[in-house]
This record gives sequence, C-alpha cells and structure tokens, in this order.
Amino acid sequence: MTERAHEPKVAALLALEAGGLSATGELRIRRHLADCDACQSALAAMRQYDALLGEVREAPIPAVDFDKMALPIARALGELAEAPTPGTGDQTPLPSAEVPRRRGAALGLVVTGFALAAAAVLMLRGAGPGVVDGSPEAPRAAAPRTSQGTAPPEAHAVATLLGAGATIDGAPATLDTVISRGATLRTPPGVELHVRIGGGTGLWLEGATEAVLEELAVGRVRVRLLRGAITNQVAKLGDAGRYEVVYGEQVVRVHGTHFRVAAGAPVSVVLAEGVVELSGPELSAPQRLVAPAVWPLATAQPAAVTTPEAPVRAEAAAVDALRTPHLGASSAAEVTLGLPALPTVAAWHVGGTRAGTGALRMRVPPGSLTVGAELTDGRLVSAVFELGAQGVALDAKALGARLDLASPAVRPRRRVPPAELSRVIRGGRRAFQRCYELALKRDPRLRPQLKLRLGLDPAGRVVSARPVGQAPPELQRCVRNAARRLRFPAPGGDGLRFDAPLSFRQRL
Amino acid sequence: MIASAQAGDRKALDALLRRHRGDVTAIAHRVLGPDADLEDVVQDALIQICRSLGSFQGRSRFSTWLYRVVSNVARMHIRAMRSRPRLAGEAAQERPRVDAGTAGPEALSGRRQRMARLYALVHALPDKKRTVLLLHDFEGVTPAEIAEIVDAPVMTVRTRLFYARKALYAAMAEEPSLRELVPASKAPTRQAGGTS
Repeated sequence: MTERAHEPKVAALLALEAGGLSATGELRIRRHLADCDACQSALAAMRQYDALLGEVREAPIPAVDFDKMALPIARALGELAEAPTPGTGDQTPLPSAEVPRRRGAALGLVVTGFALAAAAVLMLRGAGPGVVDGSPEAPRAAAPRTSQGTAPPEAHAVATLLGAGATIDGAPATLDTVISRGATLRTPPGVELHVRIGGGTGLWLEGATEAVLEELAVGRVRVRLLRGAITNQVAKLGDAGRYEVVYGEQVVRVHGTHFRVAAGAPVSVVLAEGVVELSGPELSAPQRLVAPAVWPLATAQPAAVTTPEAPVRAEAAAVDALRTPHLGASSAAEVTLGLPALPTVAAWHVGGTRAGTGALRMRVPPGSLTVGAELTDGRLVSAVFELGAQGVALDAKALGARLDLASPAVRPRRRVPPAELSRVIRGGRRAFQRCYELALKRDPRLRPQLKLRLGLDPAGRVVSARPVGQAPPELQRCVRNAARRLRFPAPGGDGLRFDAPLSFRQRL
Repeated sequence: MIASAQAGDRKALDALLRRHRGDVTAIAHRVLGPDADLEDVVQDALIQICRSLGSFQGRSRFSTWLYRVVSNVARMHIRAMRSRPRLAGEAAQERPRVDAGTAGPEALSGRRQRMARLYALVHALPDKKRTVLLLHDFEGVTPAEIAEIVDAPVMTVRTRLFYARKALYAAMAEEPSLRELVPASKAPTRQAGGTS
C-alpha cells in the first residue's frame, strides 16, 4: 500500500481513543491507520501525551517557602495603602493586629531617609533623659509575663533559645516568655537568647551578655548593653520611631539594618546592611557607617569619614559571616522545634539560620523543615522533619538516628562529576538571574563577581551556602537563599564541599 | 472571609492567602513545569491576588477567579523568560581537583527529561491555545469553567483545545526523546493486507 501524506485525522483518532466511534467508523479508521504513517504518528503522539499527563498529575508539588514571601507581599500592600516613599528599603511584614495602628499613624520613611534593612544589631550608648512615651505604639508593659504557654503573636517574647541558663529578671527564660519593658536579660557563656519585639523587630543576645530593655515597643526601642554583644533586626521605623543601643555613654541609633555591636572601648560594630550612626564622647561628630562597614577602622582615616557622601565602608568579606537572629514569624500557627545538645554537633543549620552548638528551641512554621548539622569531625549531615501542630522535640538518641550520627567511620563516598554539579547549578540559574536583575534595579552598572561555596550532606542537600566575592549584600543574600534550594546528586560519605563560580552577563 | 479581606481586614486577607496558597502553588507548578522558578511565580501570584481581590464580584466561584489570576501571572512569566538576560553558569569545581568527566548515572531521570520536553513543547504553543490546554488537560478544569476563566464561549474553548492538541501532537511526533515512552503493547502496528 502506498502511503498517503495528509493531515492526520486528529478528531477521528481522538474519538477512536475515547471509544466514541460506531463499529463501522472504528473499522474505517483502523483500516486507514494501517496505511497511513501520518495518522499513526499522530496516534502515537496522542498516547505519549496521555502517558505524560499521568506523570504530570502524579508529580509531587515542590515545597515553597512562603515565609520569604511575607515581606514582598506586605510591601505590595503598603504600596496600596500609602504613597510610595523613595529610599525605603526592605520592610518586614507586620503582624495582622498591627496594621490598623500603622495605617493610623501614617508611618513613612525613617526620619533620616536611610534605607532600612531587615536586620540590625544593636549597639548601645549611654542614655540621656528618658524618652517621652507618647507614641501610639505604647509598650505592652502591662501584659503579665508567662513562663510557658503560647504567647500572643504580637507579644514581645522569647522566640529562640540555644542552650540553657538564660534568664529574664533572674527567672529562667523559656520559649514564648513574654517580656516587659525594663526587663533584664542575661545569658551565660555559650547560650543564646532571641527575642521577638514585634513588627519584624527583634534581637538576640550572644553568650555571656547582659542587657536591659529600657524601652520596649514596636517602633521605639532602647536597649542598654551592660556586657557582651547583641545582634538586632529592626523593621521599618516611622517618623516617631527609634531603635538604639546604649553602652556607657556611647549610643548607636539605628537608621535601619543588620549590624552587630560588642561592648568595648570603643565599641565594636560590624554592619552588614543599611546604615547606622555612631556617636560618643571620643568622636568629634556622629560617625555614619554604611554597609558593609566595620568599626573601629583597621587603619586611621582622616576625620573618620563622617559625611553622608563619603561614609565608612568595608569590604563585603569583613561582614560576610554576620548572623541574623531567628525571630519566627509572629504567627500563632508556629510550632516548637526542640533539639538536644549533642557533643558531636559543632553548629546547627535550621531554616536558613546557623546557630551554635547546644540545646536548641525555636519557633518555626509547621510543615517540612530541613535540619542540618556541622559535626565536629567535619561532616555535614541533615534530615527533613515533618512538623505537625505539636511541633517536634527529639531526644539525643532519636536525633542522632535521624541525622545518622552513629558512625564516624569513613563511609564510601561516591564521586560526583563536576559536570553533574554544574548541571544543578545551571538548573538554579533562573533564580540567580532573578537575584541579579533585582540588584540591577538598584545599581544598573552592577557587575558582580561571585562564587558559591557550598556544603552538601551525604544525600546531596545544601546545608551551607556562602557567596564569596564582590557583590552587594542584598545580591549575596538572594543568591545564598536560591542556592539553598538546590538539590545535588548524593555524594555519600561525609558530604561534599566545593566552589561554584558564577558569572552574570547581560545580553547585549 | 473574602468580603472582609476586600474591605481591608488584614487578618482575613492573611487567612485567605494561607488557605489558597497551596492551590496557587499547585496551579503554578503544573502550568510552568518542573524547571520553572516556582517561588517567584507563586509570590507574584499572591501579590496579584492581593492587588486585584477587589475585582472579584462573586459571580463565579473563587477558584475560577484564582485560576484566572494565576494563569495570567504564569503567562507573563513565560513571556518574560523568553526575553531575559542570560546567566552564564560556569562549571563547578569539585575540590581538590578539576575533572573533565562526562555526566554520570546521577543525570536527570528519564521522567524529568520527558516532562521538561513536554513543557517546552507546550510553552511553544500560542498563548490562548496553551492556556486552554493547560487548564483542561493539566489542571482538569472543565470547558465551562475555562470559558469563565478566559472569558470566551465554551465552543471557542473546545476549538482552541482541539487545535492546541493537534499542534502538540504534531510537535511530539517530531520529538524522538518522547517516543520510547509508549509501551510496546499499545504501539500502533501496521496490519497486513487490507484495503481502505
């Protein structure tokens, strides 16, 4: 039989597959198929398509980190509720209860006009006269302090505990302890205490730290650092808003961002994001630091660069490792993750936060959560936990089994060809590209040079991701977050560490 | 809850987003395929839901309105993907030495490759045909509901669906990587003899 080249009888073939033809019609089309390559190909494609549709419908839906979207969504709502104001940086989302008050106060830019970053470390300076408490956002000092139970989402409360022995006004601190204005927070060496103030603002005390929350309200905070160091995260401040850390007579007033302050003479400041202003009796004029920056300066600079046009800056690498506090999402839906102290664990990686060693308690959203651990023998391990409404609190034995800590012996490691690693990196190129495009909006001349320093666990999950190179902190953070979502072929053994250079190129 | 959210109740809006964000994710994933920047699209879709919630008047089901929003966002994303600057992804280096070997057995599974090719062919279809095909075949939405989503008569939806499939079948027939999927027992065979 000769082949007849023609348009495939798609309608008839669809009817044939659906059993919608009469006996005569079916016979006719089958006879035609016997002699027609075009229709046979079309029928084969139809069946391929049906089979593929089955795979599409069975494919699991990837997990999505909705917490990261809260800020852009809140920003979008802010654009709707208020006229956009230039220079406003990242804003953290407000708990629902705070929205009506914020709108009523018509909060706008920080007074100084600096961009606010997501996190800020507080530095303290000797306090002057007490601050007039005329803000509509009065501190909830009257709220009774509870040692346990679920704090209201909007309360100033303990969000994360690492280790044991932290106290609030002398009493043991527990998760969700509500904190009042004037409270004294203390941590012994090696213990961390993270406090959620609300509205995306919070702080964490490092080990061997003591601080007093002299003023405590969303948008108006003063912390007196007595010893040690605290890291702060400050959300958008309104016209009447203020956030400052006082140490002796030195004051660090936040204009918004992510910075660390350590007690000393002079105080030590590491600024990863945004702008802070430093003043003190030893400075002739307030010193403005613009991220990335460190203080004191490694080398003397004339006039210590005090003008906004030429602020103090530092290389990005100097501030690369600055941690952010884990504050939770102020959501009543959050559950508790509890991990015991394990002697073989050098550091935990949970929900994008790297925490030191020790027993860990933190508030996290329910659902899947990857918990990683850097072991003292250099291995990287991780496991995925499903957190229900009751949260998870594991004992050492159960956690050790889940993380496969049983044997430090060398296990066979499967070699992963660089081409495979490259393939996965290329698979994330859209996300990296999006990071670059977002950064371009701020600086159209941006030409970053970055590489990713990645650490994988034996299963191929990314447990550490560190951008290294010349790029704005926002771009680095975006790339780091994107890299954490990659999944590599399992290297086995004790995991894998490698560098993956990235280059960004604009299409001419 | 919808009315409260439309009136400006932030708690109601938060609750609405929490309730439907899984649906939004699922729709976006099935529309875009496995290699898409899903989180970006989901985020854009949630923002668009917030911005355009006032346009939902209750004349159709909320899920229908949701499909419209998400499929529009996804369509914009597909268009944007075609015109974005390209990122040069350079080879990763495994310490301590560089190996110029070929892809090992951990390469993309056959299933993932087939899905990727299928989506590439689907995304190459014209907008209107692609939308109908994805909603009907991938999401299981009825033609009547699709007609509401795309604001077109049902017969138009059926016609677009037919021609979308026809174009897709033709493209798949030219795609050798998909051929091995068909089980041998189902493969069409020439019948000996016979006349038409």
